[in-house]
Amino acid sequence: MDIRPGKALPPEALYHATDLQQLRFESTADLAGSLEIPGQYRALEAIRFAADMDLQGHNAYVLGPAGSGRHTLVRHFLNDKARQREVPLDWCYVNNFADPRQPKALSLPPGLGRQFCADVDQVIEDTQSAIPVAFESEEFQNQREAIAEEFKELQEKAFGELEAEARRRNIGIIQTPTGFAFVPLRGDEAIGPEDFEKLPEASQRQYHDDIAVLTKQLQRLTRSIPKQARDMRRKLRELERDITTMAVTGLIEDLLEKYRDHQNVIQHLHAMQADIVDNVSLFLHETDASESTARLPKFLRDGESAARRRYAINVLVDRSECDGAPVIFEDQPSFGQLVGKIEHEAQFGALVTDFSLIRAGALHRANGGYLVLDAAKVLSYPAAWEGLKLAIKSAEVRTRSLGDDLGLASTVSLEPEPIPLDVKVILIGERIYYYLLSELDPEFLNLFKVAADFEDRLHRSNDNVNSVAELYAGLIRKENLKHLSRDGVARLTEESARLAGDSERLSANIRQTSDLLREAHYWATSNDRELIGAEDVQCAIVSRDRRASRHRDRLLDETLRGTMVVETDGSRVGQINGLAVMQLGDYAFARPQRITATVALGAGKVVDIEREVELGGPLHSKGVLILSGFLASHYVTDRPLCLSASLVFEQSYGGIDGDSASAAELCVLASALAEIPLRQSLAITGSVDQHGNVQSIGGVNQKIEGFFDICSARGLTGDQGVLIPVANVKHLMLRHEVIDAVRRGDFHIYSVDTVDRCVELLSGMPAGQMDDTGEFPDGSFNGAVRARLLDLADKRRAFTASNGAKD
Amino acid sequence: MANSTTPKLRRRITLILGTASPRRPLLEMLPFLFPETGEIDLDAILLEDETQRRAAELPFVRELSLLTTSEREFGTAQFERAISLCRQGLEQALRSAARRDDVTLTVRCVGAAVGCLQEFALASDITLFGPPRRFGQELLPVAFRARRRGRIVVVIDDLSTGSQALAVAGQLAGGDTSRLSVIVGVGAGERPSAADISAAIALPPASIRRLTDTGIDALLKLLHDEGAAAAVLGVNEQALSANALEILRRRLRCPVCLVRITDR
Repeated sequence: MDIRPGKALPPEALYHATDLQQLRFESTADLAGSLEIPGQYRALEAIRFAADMDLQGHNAYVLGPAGSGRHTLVRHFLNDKARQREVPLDWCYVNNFADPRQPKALSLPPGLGRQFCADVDQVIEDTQSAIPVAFESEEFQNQREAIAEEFKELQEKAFGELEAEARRRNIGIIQTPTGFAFVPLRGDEAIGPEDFEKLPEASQRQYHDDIAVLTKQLQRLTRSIPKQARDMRRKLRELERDITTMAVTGLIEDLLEKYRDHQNVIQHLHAMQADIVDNVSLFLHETDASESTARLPKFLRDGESAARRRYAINVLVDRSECDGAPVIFEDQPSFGQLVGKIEHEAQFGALVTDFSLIRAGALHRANGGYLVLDAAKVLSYPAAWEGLKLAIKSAEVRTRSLGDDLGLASTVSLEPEPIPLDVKVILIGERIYYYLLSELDPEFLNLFKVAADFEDRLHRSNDNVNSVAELYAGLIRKENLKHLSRDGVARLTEESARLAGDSERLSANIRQTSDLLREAHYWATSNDRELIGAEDVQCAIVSRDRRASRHRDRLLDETLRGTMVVETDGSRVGQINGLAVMQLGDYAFARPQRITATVALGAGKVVDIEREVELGGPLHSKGVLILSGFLASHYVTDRPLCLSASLVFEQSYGGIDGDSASAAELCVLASALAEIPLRQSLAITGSVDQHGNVQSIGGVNQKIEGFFDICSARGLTGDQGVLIPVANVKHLMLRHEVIDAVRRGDFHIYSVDTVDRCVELLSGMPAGQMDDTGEFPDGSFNGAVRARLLDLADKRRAFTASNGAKD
Repeated sequence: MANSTTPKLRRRITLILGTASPRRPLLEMLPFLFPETGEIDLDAILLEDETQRRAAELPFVRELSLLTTSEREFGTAQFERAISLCRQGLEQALRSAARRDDVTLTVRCVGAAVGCLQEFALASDITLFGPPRRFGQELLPVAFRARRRGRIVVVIDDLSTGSQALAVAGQLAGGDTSRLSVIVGVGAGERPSAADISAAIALPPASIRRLTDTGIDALLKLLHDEGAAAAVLGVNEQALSANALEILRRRLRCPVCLVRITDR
């Protein structure tokens, strides 16, 4: 195969078909099938390392383009890995009776959390029966009455003594509407005012004095009542505590025995027992319900709910159904979803909460295993990234409300005890996020020490092609699609190579090829075929291309109608066909563009008009600036460049970037300088260096096909073709129409390695090599360029001299 | 047009309160005495104590408040004002209940004359009066002031005259006959056996006690022993003397409900 630069490439160089002999099966039905992503050895090794590494900070960031199977690979690997690990602990939150704002976290062996919750529920239910029974018992009632009677008797005895004392002095105690008063008596009746006046003065004074003394005594007596009432209440409380302790102890003892190996549970049960004794009223709602509480809404007067709520166990993480360590994929990694939430309930217009409203986050669920998150989503939720970092850094999960953190809510909230965290976090994201985080977040690399970098492309080796076929077989089985025939697999891998933009590589974008497979399944079904063949894959490709190509067709149409000017025959001075690639979503296509150049006497400056109007990007400008260097070093090393040249992409109304048109710009500039016309039947793509070497560019297939489409629509003349860099020959995976045209000699693709080779093809003249004297041969393209540059230099000198003389 | 409607049941209830007695126990009992159908005339009487008035007229008598333990003037003006406030408070407390249950309400203040209790009791279907305030009572925890679901003790002489009292006691107990105790007095007629009473009102025999003495002290002791939260007595002119009623009012520590015995 002759692919020497300057020569038209043979058809075999334009498309690298998959060798069917490589494929070790007749159809994918012969394959076992696998959902393993092939070729990602580096990434897989990194993930394995991160998963095995127990040290803190060895979390992984899986970086790579979307569709490369990152999630699938991570999921498969971690699921396998997790099955080999122990099931981690259950976690529960319980009421902290000493400080309800700081609920306590309890860990239990897997599956025991739910059991403990049920056991405590049972104890509460039993207690709800046992305590009212104990309080209704005759023994309790008798003791209670005895305490009250003791108080009453104490009071009445003192009062009786005072009354007797008053009686001895002929003074009686009467009840007034709000208290008591002493009055003089005659017999059992109070003396009236007239009778009192008739008493001797000494008697009256005696009554006065006696009543004053008695009043003081009564006052002392009444002031002693509150203290005695306090004593009585204390005795009553002690009685209640004793009876409650008696009722509860038996119920809790069974649990203490059952959970004797779990010290934290034992501590909680003891605290719970003490709290029940202190809050026995929670269990006495029915017997003590007054008329006023009966009018309250049910949830408020429901003592059962209140007791259950106070003592129930909030099972935050239940591992009873787990098989191995957890692998949690959190699709919505908001702050609350990661670190858990503290929910609130509205009661009488106020938001209230308690330990039972703490909800687990992904970190809780993944604790002891793996947590897989999408980096972009974590970064897009407010405070989620900071919350995640804090949890990893501190190796504990602190559940808190984001509203409280930001000072947005002023409701009563909680500070639950943090839960120790042992989790491996796998972030999956685009490369750009990895590099930005590395650059901008100083903590990032400390917390995510392992980068699992996914390949964009795979070698198109035998093994990889067969591995991809296994993947297709796995997908087919999973989704119940039709199997691929051998030529169908071959066509898919060829398309994969085209998607990779390289005939020697396969695209690692599994999603694109998987979608193509599904679409081919549709066509095979439509065509009533048993297997998906190459024709079906081709149908899917063409169909997909047609669906996406509205914009390309519109541009092509406008070109054919002459609205957009692209010439495909004849010759022009200072005009050339360049090729630009446009990317719209997943779809890329080329747009041939007319590039023109003009030259005049000047100060050696090449003006890039795209740059001047800020439509050209920095890479494009770089390419143009290289031209000046090339002109100076290649043509006139002994004179200054005295030209003013301008370059423009005609009818380009959008931004343009990249240096893939620099070869075209150099050729058209040289044409303008030498005033030698260039063939318009050719288009050219390639970048150049300062020595005039043509370098590789991207999108070579689309560029060739873009120019071919215009030529083909106008009618192929046999003179048309495209110049591409030699380095791009290996990337060629052209459409079959192009290859057929080449095979017929209607269209040509030339590989070029130097600018000289380009101008020879474009002008039909020899480029000419500079000799030892610095001159090019007469009649050569380069000689004409040099002659024009020298002429411009002379004119500049003469112009400068004449202007200087005038001055 | 022929009038075939039966006359509506009309119950006259008299509520008697002293100026120095707590009204809460009586007000809590009152709604239980309202029949489900029929009309109610409620006569609330505030008994003005003559001794208090006389004490208020003495120039040097001072009142010792139980709540604040402070002394203050106790003159006629203060007494009148206290009576007025008592009456207003009572009227206010009863008015809402009267409105709710469609009760015809009158509130009045009368001087406490000897024999007035019996007079009121015989003029009403039901007469309620309360226990006197006890020293230190206000400072007791609420749970100890009264046993809300305590025993209701009915005092009857025989089943025929006591049936009305038993019916009222059943109302007060809210249909829970386990809260009832029966004291069978020493009446003129034939005393019913415990079995008769058990059969009549489905009470266990253990809840039936017998008075062996006609003295009021014996009744008071038995009521105290039973831990009565309320006492229900059937009365007619022969049943209880005015003097005995006055002793009950002053010494019994629970509300008393007198049910007028009528011929069937």
